[in-house]
Amino acid sequence: MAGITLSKVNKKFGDFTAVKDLSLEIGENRVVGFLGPNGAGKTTTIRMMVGLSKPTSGEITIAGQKIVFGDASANSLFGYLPEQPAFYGWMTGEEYIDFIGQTFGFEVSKRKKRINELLALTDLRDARKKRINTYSNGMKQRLGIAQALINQPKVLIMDEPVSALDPIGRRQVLSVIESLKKDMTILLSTHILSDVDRICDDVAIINKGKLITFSPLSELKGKYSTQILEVEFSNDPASIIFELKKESWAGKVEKEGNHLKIWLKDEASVAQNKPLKFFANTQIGVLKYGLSLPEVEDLFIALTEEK
Amino acid sequence: MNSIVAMINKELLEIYRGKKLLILAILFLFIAISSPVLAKLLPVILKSVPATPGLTINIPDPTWRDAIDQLVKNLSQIGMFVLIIIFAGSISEEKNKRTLELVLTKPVSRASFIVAKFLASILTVKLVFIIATIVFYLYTISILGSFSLVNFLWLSIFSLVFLAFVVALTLFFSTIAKSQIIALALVFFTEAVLAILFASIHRIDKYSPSYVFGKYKDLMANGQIQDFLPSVTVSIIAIVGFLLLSIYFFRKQEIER
Repeated sequence: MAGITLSKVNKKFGDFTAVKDLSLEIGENRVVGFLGPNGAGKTTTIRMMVGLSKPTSGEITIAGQKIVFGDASANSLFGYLPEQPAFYGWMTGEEYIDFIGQTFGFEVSKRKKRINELLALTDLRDARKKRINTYSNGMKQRLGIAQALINQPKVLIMDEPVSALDPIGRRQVLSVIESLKKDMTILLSTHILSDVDRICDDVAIINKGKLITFSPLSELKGKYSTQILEVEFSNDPASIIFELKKESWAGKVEKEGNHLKIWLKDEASVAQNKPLKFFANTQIGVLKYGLSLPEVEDLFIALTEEK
Repeated sequence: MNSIVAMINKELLEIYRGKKLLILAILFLFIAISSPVLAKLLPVILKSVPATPGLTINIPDPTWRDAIDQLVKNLSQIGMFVLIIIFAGSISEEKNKRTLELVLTKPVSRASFIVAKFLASILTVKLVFIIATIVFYLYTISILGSFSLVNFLWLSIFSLVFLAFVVALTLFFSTIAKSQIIALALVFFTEAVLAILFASIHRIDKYSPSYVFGKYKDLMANGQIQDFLPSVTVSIIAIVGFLLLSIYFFRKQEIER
């Protein structure tokens, strides 16, 4: 049984199509990174999955049950963490989790047990009696994870769970997510690609509301494993890019300060020192010269530009 | 069913911690105590005005009727006004602060979200109102003389039905409006339209939810409660109607970011 399926999901706001013919089938216990630039339709898609927004057309199922807008009956199957979740600030962290437990109809003893487990997992035990409006963003995000897990869901859906956090908060939240990997399907949207590298099995990339690719991260890396030549210069290399692109071995070129990334069309050229010879003939000094494999970020750029 | 109990608990705690209970308790107790006090003191105040030669004012001794006059006036004006202000944000503010996102993605139906808001609000108003009317009754009979408890009880019940009508109307507009201010404006506008409508068409007057505030003197004098049944029936139908409409619109609403 699939964890999450979307079939031909569309979402229009007036004339604007935010999500177009999106179909996805996410297997059980997979961790999927849902990527895309800002405005790609990630949040819109997620909000349709959890029943906050109504698809214009198409069908969504979670853990085998169809999501019907305005009907809460499938809500016990998943956990949801929105981007920057909003709590009742006048409650304490403990009271909030307890309240959420009550909405599921859990008995007092079960709620107590779950509260203790979840506050331990999210490292909020010391703050349990404090009002939520005194929490930092990182603590709120962790409380958000705690409330999403109270029903031990089969599917966990998170919208940008770490993007609003400082590095320490990010590390804490990511390690919580990592610890959950074994026994649930997780979908998390993000634009921070190193997070995907760290925790995801699969990657779904959307741009302008359309699915660009959906495949295991390892496969994607294999497919786009073109080597990249990274060169650092003593001066700005802008003047040589035009000539560089004419070279038979050079593909896409990306410039960042005095640094160039060159996607190689012909990897053998490096062994023949062709690039090095080219740079030696320019008037700019070469400080560093080396090969690297693409990171998710490079894949992402390559894929979104390709389509 | 679980979720509605959870939601009612949460609402009651919010009303308590958000000082809404405190505000309502102070207001209604103030009305309960000030109404008989003002009735008692008004003649004294008037007498203290320097006499104008050639003009003699005959001021009758104050009675419990004056206290009831004050009570009804205060309830139908300040009481209603504060209730509307307090409850106008109860749904629109959850949308603006986005606190309802986490709740509506739990097994909490949209109907129980609305119904819990209504029940918790009504429970609070009822509690405060009952205490205030007991205080009013005891205080008034002690300083202005005794009057019919039964008739006063009916007056209280009919007033409470009217206040419940106001709460349901307020929650309805809080559901459909984008903000607390817009909800407030819509409630006041509707109240004004209703008041003008019922005042200008005399035949339908007895169906007005606020009929009791116009005819309370008769009720206190003769206890003819059947005269008030049309008004109470209309109020109850309207309360149920506004709740159903709120649920209907809320179910269709997408929760925007």
